[in-house]
Formats: sequence, C-alpha cells, structure tokens
Amino acid sequence: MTVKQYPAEKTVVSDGQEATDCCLIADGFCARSKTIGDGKRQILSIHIPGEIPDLMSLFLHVMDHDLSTLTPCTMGFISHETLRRLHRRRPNVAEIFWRDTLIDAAMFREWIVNVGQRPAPARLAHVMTELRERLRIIERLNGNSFEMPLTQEQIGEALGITAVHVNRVIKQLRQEGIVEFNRGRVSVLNETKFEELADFDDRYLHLSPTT
Amino acid sequence: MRRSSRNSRTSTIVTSTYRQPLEQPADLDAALHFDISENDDFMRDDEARQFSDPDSARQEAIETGATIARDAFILGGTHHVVIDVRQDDAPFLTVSITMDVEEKAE
Repeated sequence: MTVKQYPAEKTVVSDGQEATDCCLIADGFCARSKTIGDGKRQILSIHIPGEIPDLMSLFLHVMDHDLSTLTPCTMGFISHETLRRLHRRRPNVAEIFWRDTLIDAAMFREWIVNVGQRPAPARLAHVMTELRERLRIIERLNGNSFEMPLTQEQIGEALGITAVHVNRVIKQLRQEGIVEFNRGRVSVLNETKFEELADFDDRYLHLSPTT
Repeated sequence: MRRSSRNSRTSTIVTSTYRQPLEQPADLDAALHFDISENDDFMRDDEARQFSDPDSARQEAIETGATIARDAFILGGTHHVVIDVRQDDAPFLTVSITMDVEEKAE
C-alpha cells in the first residue's frame, strides 16, 4: 500500500479517470461529488477514516464522479490487482466488500430523500446525525460532541443550499439550543430536539453485520 | 417575476423583486453581509463573505432567497422573505420574495 498526504480541497481521483487503485482513508474527511456545467458541485457523500470510498472502481474502471479531500488527509492506495488477489484467496472479504457497496447505495438513497424532501435545518441535522453514528463506530465521539470539520461552503454543497443559507441554519440551531458549532466540532445541546429535527432512522446504515 | 397556479378554490401567487444600485463595479473584491428577514423576523449577518465580482454575490443572494423562501413558504406562517446585501453599512442589493395565497369561493 502506498501512503500519500493531501491538503484540503484536493481531487484524489477525478471524474473520467481510469482508476488503478482503491483509496483507504487513514485520516481526514473526504467527499464524493459531481460538478455540473456551470461549475457548481454537489457533494454526494462524506467519508471518514477507515472507509474505502472508491471501492466501486475495482469493477467500474472509469470514475463517474470525483473523490476529493474536504480536510487535509492521509490516504492509502491499494492496487486493484492486490484486491483481486485478496478476493480470490478470501471469498469472505469479497462478500464484505460487496456488502459495503450495497450499504453505499442505501446511503445514496437516503441522501436523495434528505436533499429532495426535508427543509434545510432537518437536512443538516440528518447529515450530522449520520456522521455522528459513523464516527461512533470508529470511536471518534467525545461525549456529546463530534468532528464535522467542513466549511459552510462544503456543507452547502452537501445540502443543496448556499453558504449564506447554511450560516442562517446554523444560527437558528444555535439560537434554539439544539447544537453548537465550534472550530469544526458539533456539540449536541438538546438530544431530544436534535433527533426529532433529524427524523433519523439508522436502518439504512445496516450497522449490524448479521442483518 | 410573477407566477400563478390555480384550481377551483385556491390561487397561489409568488412575486419576487430585485433591487440594486444602478452602478456597480465589474471587479468587486468586497466583503458583503447578507441580512435575512422572514416576515418580521430579522437576522443580521455579522460574518462577511468575500466576493470577487458582483455577479457571484447577486447569484448567492438570489439562490439564498429562493431556498429560504421554499422552506418557509412550504412550512407555512411565512409569506415574505428578504435578503439585504450590504457592504459594511452601504446597501449593495436586495432580493425580496412574497407569496400570496387567495382562497376562492366555489
């Protein structure tokens, strides 16, 4: 595995590129995104340490979206050939990777619902709750607070709203005593209101390996 | 802009206006504040954002007004959204969006 360091907002694998490796995030936050003709970017998913966000490139050789860093990142590159050999030797690993891509699809379905149907405060709360649940798995929670080191522009690109609108929503959540944002960390001040706003059901994350 | 949809009982009209000073520089490179009003609820923007040209600031204001109005109108209770953009205390532009729903007798 080759390890590389990236600054924030750097493309790791580009839309249209033929990938020869899969990227394991060792540290930092990444996003998958698509950019339309006028240059606007839609963030499709946020990725955290321990994830391989471009696993699909093992079978779909030409990237149909970008993989970029949101924060400074350490990435490990595993060659497709190595992964194929691993699949042949350990079919149970292949099954785990298959399951991972299916959960990936479930998360995309949830994001479509979130961006298409929920008002902006609920949209943000839902994304934050999902991120918190995933950070919980890798033991990156600290009491009632967790990392979300995204800029307002990046959050806006994930929610389909402007950075100004994100700022307005953050102020609203702060004023209502639901969450506090401080230096890339989110602290949940009122768990009941937060969960109610997020309308979050974690079934789509399929967190139990037996179901 | 004026948009209307009708059925036998309800008429929904959304109007939007957009005002800006007559002369704006092509190169802006200014820090702008976006104050937001929903009906009488005013939220002053203390965090200025840097814009390199008037078009991108204008686009940010229009899109912000549109998405805030969408949420506010659908959730109900709000019928008027205004985005006032200023450079320090000098007005830069205003986006105003109003929705009227008229119930009609059958």
